[in-house]
Amino acid sequence: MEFTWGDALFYGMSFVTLCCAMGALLMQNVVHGILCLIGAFFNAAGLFILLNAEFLAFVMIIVYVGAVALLFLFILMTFRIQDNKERQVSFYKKPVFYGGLILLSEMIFFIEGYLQGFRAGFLSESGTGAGNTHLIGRVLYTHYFLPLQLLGVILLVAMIVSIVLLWYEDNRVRKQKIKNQVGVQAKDRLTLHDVLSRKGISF
Amino acid sequence: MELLSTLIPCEWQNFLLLSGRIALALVLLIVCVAYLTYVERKIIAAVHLRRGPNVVGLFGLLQPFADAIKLLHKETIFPTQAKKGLFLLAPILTFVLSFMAWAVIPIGQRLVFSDISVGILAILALSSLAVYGLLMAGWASQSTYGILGALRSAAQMISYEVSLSLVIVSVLLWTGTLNLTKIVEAQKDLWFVIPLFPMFIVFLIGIFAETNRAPFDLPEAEAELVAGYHVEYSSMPFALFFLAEYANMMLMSALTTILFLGGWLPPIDALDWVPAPFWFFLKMSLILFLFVMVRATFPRFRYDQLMTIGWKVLLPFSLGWVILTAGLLLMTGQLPKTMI
Repeated sequence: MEFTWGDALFYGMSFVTLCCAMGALLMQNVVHGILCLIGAFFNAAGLFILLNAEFLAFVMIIVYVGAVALLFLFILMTFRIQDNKERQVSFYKKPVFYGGLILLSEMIFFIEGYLQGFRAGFLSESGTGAGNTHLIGRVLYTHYFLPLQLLGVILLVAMIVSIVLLWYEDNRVRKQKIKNQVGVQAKDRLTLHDVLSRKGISF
Repeated sequence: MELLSTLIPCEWQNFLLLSGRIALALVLLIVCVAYLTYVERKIIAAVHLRRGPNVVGLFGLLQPFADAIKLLHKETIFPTQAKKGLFLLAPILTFVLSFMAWAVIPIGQRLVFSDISVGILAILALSSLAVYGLLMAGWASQSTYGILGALRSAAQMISYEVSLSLVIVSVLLWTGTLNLTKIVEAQKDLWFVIPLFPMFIVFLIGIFAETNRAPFDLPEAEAELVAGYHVEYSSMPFALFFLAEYANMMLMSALTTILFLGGWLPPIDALDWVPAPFWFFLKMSLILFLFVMVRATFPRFRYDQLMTIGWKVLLPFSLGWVILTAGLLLMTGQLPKTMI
């Protein structure tokens, strides 16, 4: 088998992805860890491009790098985290480890099942000349329409819950009421009085 | 040329030719950016009834180069607490990202480096990456002003990216493609600025916020944050941030031109003989002029006002317009065929 530029890119990017993922776990400084995570996402997007899945690649960057990781970084930066030299690299606790194992096996299971469905179903459609962005849209809004809507509802519930949990009324906060500001007229702010000499006025 | 083709093997020729073109485009872009700073100073000076730069060269035309040489001569200062690697990486990343998106911008028929099918997604992805340069800069310099500026810019950019994407969606509903060349070609009869005028305004407001320009230049609000995320930077790293800001302005104007002003298409068909890039740059300069005039005339928004405009005004408005556009197109049967 011939070793092509594509192979070289694949192995290079896979290697960098794995290194970044390890870095995300092992970095002493949390912010550096997040930056490693971003590197891993970015290289994974590169792998998607090698698979001709350019839509997934860019969505990966927009969603994971542009939103998810950004919010992580955002939250970590607002905490004042010192460089913690005592943060030792230790083996993870047992429940976490077993949980991870279960997730991994599930992932393998699903990927196997999904690949078979993929080979049987959608790949044959790609011969029609439409790009894979088009195909994803077609499958998502017909075959998977109900799950998609359900996902939307779940996300909406999550959004409402997080707003309700964090919302509180604080009487000290003074809010700007633009309508009132714009509606102010001179007579609301200014009154003219005739001041008599040596008498003064009272109002 | 003959000699060249005998010396270099065939597959390398294409590569070298492409590299040469990219280098040329980059140099042109950087010169444009340099003169954009000059033009901005001149216009703002005219608004203020001053003269602006007029000493170096004729009409001060060499001023950008004088500034560049001055910055090159200065010392790069590292704050003691700074994370050196990230501190240097941040300006490089910002600079590179601001020029990278030009690879997919078509300035004429087939005048584009890479005509990919998801061009608009590529631009969105690259602009969402740009936040990291600022965040890294703020965090790596370990300074309170820097971190505050970086956090502000990050929050501002995510907030406005949402409405920007919705505006783009409403354009995509008309074209049915993510390819930038085809988006321009779809405007052959009607520029999208006419049917989508309110979205055009939303897009303009969005790009002002996205590029951290006045009246939304809170990350670098001089009065409260000194200079924001790049407060600790000096010399060439600072120049890179500076150039990146102006390159982003140009990129966003180019995107507005492509999405709403018909890209390289002439305003009337009779003017077809004028080279396409001329129209493209003319339209781009119009938007850039708007950028500068807004900076010269508008006061800065307060931070809570900025967030209110982003989330409570622009987002519901653009969401409503997307639904309205989709509904109207569906009702009149104008939806592009690729989408049915």
